[in-house]
Amino acid sequence: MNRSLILFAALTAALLIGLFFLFKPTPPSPAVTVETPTAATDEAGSSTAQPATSAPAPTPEAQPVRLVLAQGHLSDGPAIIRVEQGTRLRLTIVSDGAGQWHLHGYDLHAQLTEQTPAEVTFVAAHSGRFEHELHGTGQHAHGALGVIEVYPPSP
Amino acid sequence: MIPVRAPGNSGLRTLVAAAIACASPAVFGHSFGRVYNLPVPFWMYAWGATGALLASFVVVAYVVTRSPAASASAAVDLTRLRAGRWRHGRVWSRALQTLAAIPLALCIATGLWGVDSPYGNFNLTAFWIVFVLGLTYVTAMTGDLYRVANPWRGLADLGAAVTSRLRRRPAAGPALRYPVWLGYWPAVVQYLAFIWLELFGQHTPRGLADCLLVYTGITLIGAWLFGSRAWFRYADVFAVFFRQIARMSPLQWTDRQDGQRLELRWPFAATADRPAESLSALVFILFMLSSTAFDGLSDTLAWRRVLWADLYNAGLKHWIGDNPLAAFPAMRQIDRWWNSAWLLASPWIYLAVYAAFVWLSGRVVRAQIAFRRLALAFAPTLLPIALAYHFTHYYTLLQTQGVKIIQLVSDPFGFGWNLFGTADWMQRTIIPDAGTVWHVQVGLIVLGHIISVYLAHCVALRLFRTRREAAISQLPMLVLMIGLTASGLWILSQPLATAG
Repeated sequence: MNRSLILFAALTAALLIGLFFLFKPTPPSPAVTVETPTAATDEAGSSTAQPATSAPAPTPEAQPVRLVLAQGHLSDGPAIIRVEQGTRLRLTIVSDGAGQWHLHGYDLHAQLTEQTPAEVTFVAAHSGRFEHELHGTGQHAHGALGVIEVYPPSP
Repeated sequence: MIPVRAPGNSGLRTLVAAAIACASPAVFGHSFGRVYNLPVPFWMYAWGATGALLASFVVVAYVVTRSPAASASAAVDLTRLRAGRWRHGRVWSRALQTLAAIPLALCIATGLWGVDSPYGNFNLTAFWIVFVLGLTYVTAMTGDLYRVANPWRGLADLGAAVTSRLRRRPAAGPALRYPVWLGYWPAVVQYLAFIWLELFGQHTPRGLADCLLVYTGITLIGAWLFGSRAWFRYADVFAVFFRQIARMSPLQWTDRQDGQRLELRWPFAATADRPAESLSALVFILFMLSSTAFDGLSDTLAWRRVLWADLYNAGLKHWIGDNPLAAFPAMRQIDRWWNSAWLLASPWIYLAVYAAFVWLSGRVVRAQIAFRRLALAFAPTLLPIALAYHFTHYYTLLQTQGVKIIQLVSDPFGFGWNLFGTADWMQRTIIPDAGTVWHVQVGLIVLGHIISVYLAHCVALRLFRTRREAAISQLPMLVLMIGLTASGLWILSQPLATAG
């Protein structure tokens, strides 16, 4: 019994692993060349080897986002902001009332005052889905505004 | 970077956007804790579904080609060894129950007298994350700890002992005999109420303390009326839930005349040992599946659109109007009823689907076995799928919120104490890597599926006359299990609607 069980388990595992590589999307072509820098220099010339040896590339910038809040709700701007992990994101938050803006997970805070826009700049270093909200005063004490989705870099 | 506008491009964009993006926590009440999970990418969903499908046929091939001797002993085909035996099991149990009563009392006390902040107070994290989630996964690994360490059972037994001492006569046994027809129905009702509170209740420390007091009252009265043995066997939601989970554990504690015994067995194998006892036990198991599935589904954009866009456009707007200021609160109210109704209906929908597939599976081989017997026999084999669903939906909460218990024990009331010097530990939020989470989620769902398919075949081999019959009978069950697995994966891969 044990031999056939092991055989069966190995077969299942092999099947699943094989399928995994079949389904896994292939990375876009420019990224592959960096993988083996020494081999690449010999055959493909010096240009491909450069990224591996030089200092890390500057953080990519995402398009700035402007969020307009009215009465504690998002009145203009994207409800879902999608960025790739590792990009720098710049948010401008305009509010018609005072309050504190809070991004969960990253635990970033920004003080908002009437008609004075708050600027928040940060590098989206962690992947995940992060809610941001307004801790206001009065009846809009606690309101969710939207989410920032940070996706892992494509494989 | 792709800034995405809220969906719904017709005239009610504001309304839909408000519902989808700016849902206030009070509307779409949530299980406690923050989740940072991203939807699983499509290719992983496709891999999981295909992998589950193809692996199922490998399992079938394995079961069918095994030697008859092995097939006959399928259910007891486990390594049972006696790893431990000790005396005074009762004393140990009493000690553990007393120990477990401390956090219970603390949860009630912090709820009543501590700060009002859900994340600054000890009790919500201790109850929802450590007890409800943590103990479930510990139970799946180490067996039914709750049976020996249930604080409510300790309280009930203590109460019984005190009253018999006061009356100066030996305990006469429970006031009422637990009726057979009642089965597990009280536990099913409690389970429905429990999940409803989890998804739609307001999670405040005070609210939890009140719920715990009410639950304690019900439990003590029930245990007093029917005796704690019967009550915790059939009627108590946590006792029944943890016992079902413990069936999958590789360790088992059994009571013997000469003390307790610890047994080692194949993980999950015991789910194929015994059928579900009654219809109520079957419904309980199905709700373990459907409650988690519903929790996941109700967060997705696709589900939210059904009510807020499709049904709204189809007729609701004539009734409640399209002025956002008036329509939004009305829609919120409808949303609450709508989702509550689906949650409460979910186990019965699953029951209907399950019954149809079981009927088919008896039908295709013209089995001379009663439908009821078949339905009860296969029910426990769904438990691995239920556990995989549960774990993949909730496990990141242990990382993000579970670790906070370390600081909360030092300052349970939120008064700024530092009893054990751990109040400022683990300050930074732990954000699980999305890629890792995806792989764990999809991998475990496929694994749970394979185990369930295997166990169902083991049960079939015991029930049906020939191996061929058993294999054919399992085709409808296979379709059902693939359906459950694929829908679980589909839910994980869907874009989410609420903010958080």
